[in-house]
Amino acid sequence: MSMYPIATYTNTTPASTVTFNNIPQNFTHLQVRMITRINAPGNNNWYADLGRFNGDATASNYFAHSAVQMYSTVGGGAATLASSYDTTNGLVLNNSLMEAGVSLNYMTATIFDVLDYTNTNKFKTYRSFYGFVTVPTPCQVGLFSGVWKNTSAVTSLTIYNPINNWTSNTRFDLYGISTSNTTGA
Amino acid sequence: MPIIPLSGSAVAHGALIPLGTYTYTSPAGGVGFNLPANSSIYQDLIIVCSLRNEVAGAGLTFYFNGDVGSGNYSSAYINTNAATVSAGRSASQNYIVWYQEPTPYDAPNMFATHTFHLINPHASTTTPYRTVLHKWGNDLNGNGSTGIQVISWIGAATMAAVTVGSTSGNFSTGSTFSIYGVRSVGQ
Repeated sequence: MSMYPIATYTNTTPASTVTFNNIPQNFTHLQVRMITRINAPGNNNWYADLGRFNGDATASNYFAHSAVQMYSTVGGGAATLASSYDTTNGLVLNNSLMEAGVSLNYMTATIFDVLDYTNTNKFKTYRSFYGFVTVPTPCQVGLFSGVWKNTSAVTSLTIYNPINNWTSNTRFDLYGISTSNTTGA
Repeated sequence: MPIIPLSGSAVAHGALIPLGTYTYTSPAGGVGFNLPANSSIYQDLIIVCSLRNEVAGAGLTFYFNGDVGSGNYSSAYINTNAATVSAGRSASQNYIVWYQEPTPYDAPNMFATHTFHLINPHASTTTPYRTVLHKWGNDLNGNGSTGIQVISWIGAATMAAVTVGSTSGNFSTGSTFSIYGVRSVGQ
């Protein structure tokens, strides 16, 4: 298995959307490694970074599952360990930190995988591992997985936050993962 | 800033670069990876370990730059242990510690796996704070655990070293520690 960089985006000017177009079709899997923070004064806790394949905004095409541990409030609050299943407006990649009461230096790290993204006989399944932790709270760690109910090859990926812009330290790196025709490794 | 795609000769290079590895042929303490001065050419770092400890009840420790006394680490986790799922968080720790490692109480060939993803560790000397995603798994004679953790380090220094250590005792023969760099576009 080999991993190759495809594209990168650093949010040096305020933005809440990034789109990777013309994704090469010669890899087996895709991985996005991202670090995000929402700049939303007056808002608390977190909000999900969402995604769309090929610009598809059809809500009934996306479903997501999660297993998440969270401490919700600044300075304390009870832990919640929860799972969920939802129809969504897009890929749910994480819950990104936007707590107004803690330093903007705290970020949310996310690793997001899309397997067999060029296969035209499959709905596309993704998995995301993410987390943020502040002192003393809020904090959160979890897994999301989901499906895009469309068999088209993925040629573009849009990541967006519906609440506000990301901070300037926010960054997204897209990678392609190849396999060996000989070993399948 | 525009999206920067790969082009020309840059397309040829791989993203995952092995930087160092240790395989224990006799029991020994933890490993400190000193990062090269040009470590900022790697967007992320990944540390992969296969571990067993010589002392019952010992745990794994994890820290940056030898920082073990400033309360600069916080973490949150989800862990499953047999039929139980648990979660928790710790704030302002002196270093990260995780127990439930295979030890002499367990079958001799049991090792735990740990993977640490250091996301954007070289961004600058002080900001943003470093964030690590950690996952693990092991089997302890039919018990065992698997889980995930997020770690933050608020140390205000350039990241120069990463240490995977033990709360007590040595890691066993056969333990391995490997570090990889992940290169992005332009690196």
